[in-house]
Amino acid sequence: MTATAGRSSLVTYGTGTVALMNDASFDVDVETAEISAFGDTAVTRVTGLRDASLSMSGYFDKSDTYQSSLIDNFLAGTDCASMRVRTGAASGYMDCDMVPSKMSVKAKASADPVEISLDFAGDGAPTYSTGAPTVDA
Amino acid sequence: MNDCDKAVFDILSAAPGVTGQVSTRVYNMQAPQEATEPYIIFNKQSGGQEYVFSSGKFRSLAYLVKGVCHSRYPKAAGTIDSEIETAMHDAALSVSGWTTLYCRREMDVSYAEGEYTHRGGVYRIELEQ
Repeated sequence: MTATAGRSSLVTYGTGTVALMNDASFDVDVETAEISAFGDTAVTRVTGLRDASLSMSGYFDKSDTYQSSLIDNFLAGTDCASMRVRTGAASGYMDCDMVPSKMSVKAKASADPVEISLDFAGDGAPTYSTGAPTVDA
Repeated sequence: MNDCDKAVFDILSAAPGVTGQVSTRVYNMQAPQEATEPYIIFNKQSGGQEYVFSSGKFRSLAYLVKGVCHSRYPKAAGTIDSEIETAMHDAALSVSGWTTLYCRREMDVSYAEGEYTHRGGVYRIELEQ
């Protein structure tokens, strides 16, 4: 067994890496339906549709091409094709088309840089591939 | 972080209001035994780093900067403290290899030590690399 260091992770969108992100969560939910019948001695279920979502956060940087594109997509309400989260250094990545769900930009008068968090909902099947994302910068 | 020490020293040493009070007597960590008062002592109190994925990092540093006077009364040290704040608050620190995001006074410090009074503040410095 070998754990994967989170520091080597990346979030990519389109053709490059989204800058200044320090937290990302790629979630996959699977619907389940109970199909237990009279007389069964235990609950039985079948799986239904898969549903991916992505949450990422870090520091606001509109000068970064890829973060800027995502912000623009939120403001325009347009889809974000192929959002990828690399799971460690070139080991593999989660991938799914996404639609924007919620964007939050947080500014404080104290020392912290302006922060941004972006939440997406899946738009299609999530996948996992080995190796580095092809757009890995 | 020596580069930030130097940046703080440079800002203080270049501020006419500061030099008008203490001339060139600005010291890092502690004053020399033979130093004449009044003078300024600054030192890093604490610091930490925050990272983003794969590359880039931020540093958050707290610096204590205070005026020291040989007096039982705080007024003279308070005057130096005011000049320190003018120089340090929102100062464009030039830290080699880093971009300064922020330099602001965060906390007041005031105490007596024998016949000496100390007045100053803790300044939060945020750097990006």
